[in-house]
Amino acid sequence: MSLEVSEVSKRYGGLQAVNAVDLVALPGEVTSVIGPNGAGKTTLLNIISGTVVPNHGTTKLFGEDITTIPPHKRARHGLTRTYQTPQLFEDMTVLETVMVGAHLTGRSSFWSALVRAPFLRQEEAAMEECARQALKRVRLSENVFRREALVLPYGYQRRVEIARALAMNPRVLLLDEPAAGLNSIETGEIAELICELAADGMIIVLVEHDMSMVMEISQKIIVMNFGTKIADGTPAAIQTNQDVIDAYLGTPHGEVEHA
Amino acid sequence: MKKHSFIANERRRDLLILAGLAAVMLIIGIGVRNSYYLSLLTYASIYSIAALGLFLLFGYAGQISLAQAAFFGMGAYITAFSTLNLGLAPIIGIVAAIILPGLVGWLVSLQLLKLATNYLAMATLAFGTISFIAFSQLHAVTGGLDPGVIGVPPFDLLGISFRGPGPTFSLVAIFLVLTLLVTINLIHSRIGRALRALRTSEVAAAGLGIDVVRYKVIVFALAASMAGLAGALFAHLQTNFNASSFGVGLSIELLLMVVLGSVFTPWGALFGAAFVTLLPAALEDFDHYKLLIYGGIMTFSMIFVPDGLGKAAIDSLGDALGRLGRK
Repeated sequence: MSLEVSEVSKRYGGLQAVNAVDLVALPGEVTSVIGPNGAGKTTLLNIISGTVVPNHGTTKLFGEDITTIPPHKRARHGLTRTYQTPQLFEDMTVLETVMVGAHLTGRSSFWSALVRAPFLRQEEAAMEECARQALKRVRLSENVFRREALVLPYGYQRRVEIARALAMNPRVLLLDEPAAGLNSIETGEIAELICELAADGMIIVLVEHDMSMVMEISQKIIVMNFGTKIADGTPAAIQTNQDVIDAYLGTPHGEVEHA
Repeated sequence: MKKHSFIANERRRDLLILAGLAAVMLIIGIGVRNSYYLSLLTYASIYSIAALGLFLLFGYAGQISLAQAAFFGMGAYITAFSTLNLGLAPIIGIVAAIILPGLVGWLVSLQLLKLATNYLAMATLAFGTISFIAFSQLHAVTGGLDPGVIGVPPFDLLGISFRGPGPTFSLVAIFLVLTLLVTINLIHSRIGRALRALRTSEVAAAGLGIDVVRYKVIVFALAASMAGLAGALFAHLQTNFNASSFGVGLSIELLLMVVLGSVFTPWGALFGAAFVTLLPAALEDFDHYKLLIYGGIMTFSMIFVPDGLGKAAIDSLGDALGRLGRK
């Protein structure tokens, strides 16, 4: 019951963005992908979420091959993600935005929506409740629910995006730099939230540059450089791996302490 | 539990406005005797129906189309053909004028919606132009530009004939209210929210399980159906018409109605349609200066009310009601 990525490769013209990378992420664990800019982390995440189809290799979710199925069908398998720059919807309130996340919990078709079939009343109420729960979970308070999501401060936008993903009750959550642009207090809160979600049995794949956060909350870390996986293991093992130190972390008592 | 739901309240507000509008239209249908005013309002209502379709497609789902006139024309010809040539009841003509343009819209959009933004505009413009040429040249069905279609009978149902300006207005008003009702139903559902979401980010919408292509095709077909319905009503109102009514100019006017009225609220389509239909008539006395004044008013309203007249009106109505509620 896991997410298994085997030997995936993606080439853009002459650039080998991802080269034969393996990854296994288990429920209840935070699996992090780290590496310098341009290492292929986001491409790997795109391959898992389905926006990029790899040239080689397979992606399996809970034993089923999902390598070529489109993103919206992966969501039906319980896989969703957030984005490096929050992709919030224009002219939608926070609550509405998160209700879009609950889309798959509804059953109404185009026709039943047009004629407002009687069950839509419960469906709408249930989706709203779902969205409220998700917003509660990311600790956003009632007074921002009616605000337009896009005008909120950055830290709030990130939480709205996570809430939107949570509203579909995902089993796999891919997070692309959730702490980017956040201050240390906000980062701490996000880290705590991610730990809680993993503790609930979710598969979490995290791409992140904040090393203290990654080392603190990850059970497993994959290090990429120039599209290739150069190491994987526990945070303790990664921190002492000489290849990783050379390529990314720097000397243990040097840059990483100040990062 | 009662704090639940400004979301549900927004729907209730829309339904209230709709009830108010229906009442006003009823009063106009019964009270107004001036056939000139009635026919202007009837045209505005017909264009409102087509503009509502474009509002859903462009305003809500963000997909531009310059092909609405083609579906409008299809609706008109389907109604004319089924009543005049096939001798079918007008209601069958109207139903066909809703279904068939929707089907054509569905087929066409499967191809067209692979494109986006300017490319989609160009492709739909091409489809609109080709349709116009077909309307002008398929003499056997359309009568071309001259003479066109002559003598579409008035609409009748269950022995009630909608003949003359008052009844025709009432007929169009009924269909406008129904179109608004389905529009309101749709926008306050998960489908409507999905459409609004994919306007900003198709990637993010797909990541949440929304089948983006399917939803875009559906809304394109729905917009085509609404244009078809408007065209059918137009045929009954005009009785005589030719292909020149369904040129690209109409598509652009419909787009103007949506943009001027507001891309954010369905009420905008009504304001836009009223504005574009009634303003030129109101400026008739200005003779040579008519177009200049018309253009000036359009430009200024885009500068000073960029979110649209409809949104401005609904927001101020909402504020006023809110203030009343707090007292």
